[in-house]
Amino acid sequence: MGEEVLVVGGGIAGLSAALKLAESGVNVKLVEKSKELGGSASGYVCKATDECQKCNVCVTVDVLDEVQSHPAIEVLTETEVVSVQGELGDFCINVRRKPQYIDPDGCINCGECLTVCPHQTKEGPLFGPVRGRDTYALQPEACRYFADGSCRLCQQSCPADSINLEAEIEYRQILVDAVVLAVGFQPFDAATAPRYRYGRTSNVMTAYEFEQEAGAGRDLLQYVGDHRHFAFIQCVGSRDLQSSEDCSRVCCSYAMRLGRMIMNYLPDAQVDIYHMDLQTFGKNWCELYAGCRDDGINFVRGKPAGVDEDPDSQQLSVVYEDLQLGSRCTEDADLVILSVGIDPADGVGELAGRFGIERNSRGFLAAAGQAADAVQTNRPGVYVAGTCAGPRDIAESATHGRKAALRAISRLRSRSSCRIS
Amino acid sequence: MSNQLKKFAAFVCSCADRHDTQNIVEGLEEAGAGPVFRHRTLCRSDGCQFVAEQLSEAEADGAVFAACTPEVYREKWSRQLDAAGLNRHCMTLADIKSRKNAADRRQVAVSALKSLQEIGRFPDVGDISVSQTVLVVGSAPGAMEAALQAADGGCDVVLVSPAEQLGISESERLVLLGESDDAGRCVDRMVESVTEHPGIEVLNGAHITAAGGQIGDFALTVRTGDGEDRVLRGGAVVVAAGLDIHPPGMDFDLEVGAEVTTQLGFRRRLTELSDFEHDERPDGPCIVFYVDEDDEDSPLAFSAAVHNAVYARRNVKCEVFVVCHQAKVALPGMDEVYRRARKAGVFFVKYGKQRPQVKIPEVPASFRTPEEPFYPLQISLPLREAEVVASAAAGETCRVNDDRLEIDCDCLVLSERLVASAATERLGRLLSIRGTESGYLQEDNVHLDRVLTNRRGVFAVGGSRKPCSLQEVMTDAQEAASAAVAMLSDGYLQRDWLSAHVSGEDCAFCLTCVRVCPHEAAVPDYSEGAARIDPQACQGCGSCAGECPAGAIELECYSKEAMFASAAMPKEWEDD
Ligand SMILES: Cc1cc2nc3c(=O)[nH]c(=O)nc-3n(C[C@H](O)[C@H](O)[C@H](O)COP(=O)(O)OP(=O)(O)OC[C@H]3O[C@@H](n4cnc5c(N)ncnc54)[C@H](O)[C@@H]3O)c2cc1C
Ligand code: SF4
Ligand code: SF4
Repeated sequence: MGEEVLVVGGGIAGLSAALKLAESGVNVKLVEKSKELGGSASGYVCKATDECQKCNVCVTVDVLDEVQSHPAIEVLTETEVVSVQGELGDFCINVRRKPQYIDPDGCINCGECLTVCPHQTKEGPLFGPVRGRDTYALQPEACRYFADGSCRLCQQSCPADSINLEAEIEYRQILVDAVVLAVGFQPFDAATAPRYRYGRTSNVMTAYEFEQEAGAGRDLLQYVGDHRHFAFIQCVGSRDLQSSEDCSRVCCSYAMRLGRMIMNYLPDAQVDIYHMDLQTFGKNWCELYAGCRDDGINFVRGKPAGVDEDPDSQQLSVVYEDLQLGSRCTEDADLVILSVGIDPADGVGELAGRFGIERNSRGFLAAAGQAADAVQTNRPGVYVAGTCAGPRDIAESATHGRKAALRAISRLRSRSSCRIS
Repeated sequence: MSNQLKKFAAFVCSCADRHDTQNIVEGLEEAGAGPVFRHRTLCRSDGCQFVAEQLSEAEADGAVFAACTPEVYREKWSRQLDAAGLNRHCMTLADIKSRKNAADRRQVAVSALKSLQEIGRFPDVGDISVSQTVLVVGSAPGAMEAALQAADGGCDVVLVSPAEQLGISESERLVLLGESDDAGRCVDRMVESVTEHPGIEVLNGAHITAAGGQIGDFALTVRTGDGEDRVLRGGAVVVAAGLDIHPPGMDFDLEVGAEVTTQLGFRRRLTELSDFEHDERPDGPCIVFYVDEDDEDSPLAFSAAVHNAVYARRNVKCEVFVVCHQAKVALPGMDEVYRRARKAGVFFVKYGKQRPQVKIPEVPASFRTPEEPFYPLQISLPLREAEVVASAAAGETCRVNDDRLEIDCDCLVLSERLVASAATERLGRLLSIRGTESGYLQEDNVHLDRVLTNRRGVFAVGGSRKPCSLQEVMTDAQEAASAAVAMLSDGYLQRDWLSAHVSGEDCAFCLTCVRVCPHEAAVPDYSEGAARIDPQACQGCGSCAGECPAGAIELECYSKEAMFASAAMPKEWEDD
């Protein structure tokens, strides 16, 4: 027997919470909406130059490996919470899991299905072992069987007999003592700030897209092609009256690190960072800043008014106000990267509704009390962790996740918890 | 555990048998593997159970696993070794899926076996027993929280408190807790819980005079308040010795005095400022808070300045400027405070690459006597680089002169410097913990593990690793305590064959390794006349092996033979 805790969300915060719980002898159910674990951070680029830049991105992979192989953690991907009853020590949570056409407990990763499928492309229907799920997966959209029932080659050839094309949605009841919510964030939607021409030209992108697509080393060089002039625009969707007035905390550091990474691979590049204030924090921020300056990164004070595109040459230029002259200036840029902030995740409202917990004025899940890293919600036994409770970087999200776990454990074992709230 | 590791079982995954596993099995048998087993689904639970059973039955010392993407299952299989009562590190992996032809697959498995056989050459020291006492150094909330959590977690705790009594000082209260009396009361309650906790021994007024040892067995020599010398032994050390508050760095050749004060001093002088009177200053005195960009604690310094600025505006009729390089709002809750400050009429001036200059008038001034000049200081900065938040700033006291922005200031407030405490610094030195130039332990954010140091078993908490807020301190303390408890709770540590090994015969006793090891794992053994490496403290970085002029050091898992074995493996770099 022993305690059982549900963790909702498989980003770094949820993973860290699950691992801490499991290591402390608690059984864990980890429910993840998408088909893979790792959350946003698992797609980011390692920002190392000649040396490690302490961006923490690799950390997710380490934690993920441990979570996957921990016998006390059961991972349910493609699963969402439908309803919640009960109370601390006795929650009953109904979840819905998308059909598992490939049985995760049966698949032996031989890859046979992928070889035999006549319709296989990069976009499916079959996917090799994805992060956080050490088996293959099948997406119905591209599969012939679901179109007209004409093909079931993979099912016939699977040596482990683990493909069931008739699989159905699974409803499950999960009985747990406590819940940790770690459903993460979504990057600010840059389309709502049209002045930066986002979506109208491919050379204006969000840092989130850049992170997910650019890659490091050779991949980066290939990705940027002939572009040599990079402009980062900070605080897109943060510290802004139209969107959120608050600071998203992570964007300055990631932009500075991306800038240094670019300068490392492309020493002849020009990197401009348009910012209001640099909100780096934590240990050694001075060194990061000094390093950027040494690399020749150009810090320009102020929030640009917009991005222009020359109709003939398609050359982009950033329009900003020179603070001293009070006049408009422009500066060319080949690639404009918008440092988008951290917004509450899609669907966090419904989730909060189901659990009956409060949200703060910005829409993040609210923790009770003044402390910045509080984890307890207004409902006893329900804890929050990571960016769903406000902007944090990876290291902080991980710590926050572990803290939620520790708090849940000490509550369940009714040990004295933290003395300062 | 036996003294020599010789018998290694091998498990070959035969899923879908596309890898010609028979050939691999034969190769392994030829190379001297103990029993070799085949199983269809080594990665699934039935396969894992099979592994555990066979390992016990075969009385093997360790195992080789040949499978596809074996790294993914490392932890799973480690657990089977645990279950069979073996050392979980005693295994190697061979990725047979990544090899294109049968010969290569056979070889990769054989190489994995060879490197496992190699570690059998090194003397097996078995499990290493560790003391379950945690030594916590410090007197403030971080130390108390770490002590309480570690004690609750089942460890014995000795709390070495350099101060005469537990708790925090008056000024720390102000700097760290701000206005909150609640937090103050919480601290008082903590002192009570610590004192009453049966698992915690408190040594007040204790100074550390010597420190040594390794993870599992550290020794701190302390002189207690009553002048008694004691040697404390423990398996882990938590350094939570807090911050010292120092006067501000005096870039400007100023002394803290009438016109220049500190954040703490400012509170005390507020009444004086409220008596300020002068015809030419209908708006009251002009107070400037200056935040230096180089303070490692800049976010904290900015926060203190803004809090005080708002306080000043609320309580005294005055003009207030905050002069800073960056408005650091990243600290939790600072967005709101910054907004409130602007609403309260605080002007923010941000300087660029050049720091502001401060001019001192010739006649020293006291702003209470109207006859004397009452613009005691003038702060100026190049206008080109300045940004002024709030357009109405240009008034009597703030003007543009010759491309420079000038502010006449009656009271300049500088931030105290928060520095690593003397106890932190001493302990860091004694235990050879590397740190930052400013004396904080821990060189950098060691990835996730925010409380780890370069030495296994030594944890740095709160102000001992960087200036941080009380909340951060508490979180650090909990992390450190739970890590220490996890490390010590079994009473022993398993060795992992990652460590370096000195061959006593070849060692020239030059002690190069002792100097280069970043983790203080290499120690001179005078009785043997050779260096020795502590297998638990060693983190397998290989620095010593690279530097040893006699070539006497090998890494167990990467011995020459093992390296040759793996170097002979074909690697299909081009294919990926
Ligand atoms: C562009 C950009 C760059 C960044 N770069 C860095 C960096 O270099 N270094 C750094 O430290 N930080 C960086 N960050 C911050 C970092 O992304 C976050 O700190 C971190 O990803 C937060 O992790 P999380 O677990 O809280 O959330 P997420 O990573 O968002 O994970 C949440 C998980 O929950 C799942 N989920 C959502 N809703 C549900 C639901 N209803 N039910 C079940 N599951 C659900 C999601 O699918 C997801 O897997 C960056 C952020 C951005 C926007
Ligand atoms: S049923 Fe046919 S199309 Fe669908 S995944 Fe299997 S082989 Fe591919
Ligand atoms: S391998 Fe590294 S950690 Fe181990 S003794 Fe040598 S230098 Fe020290």
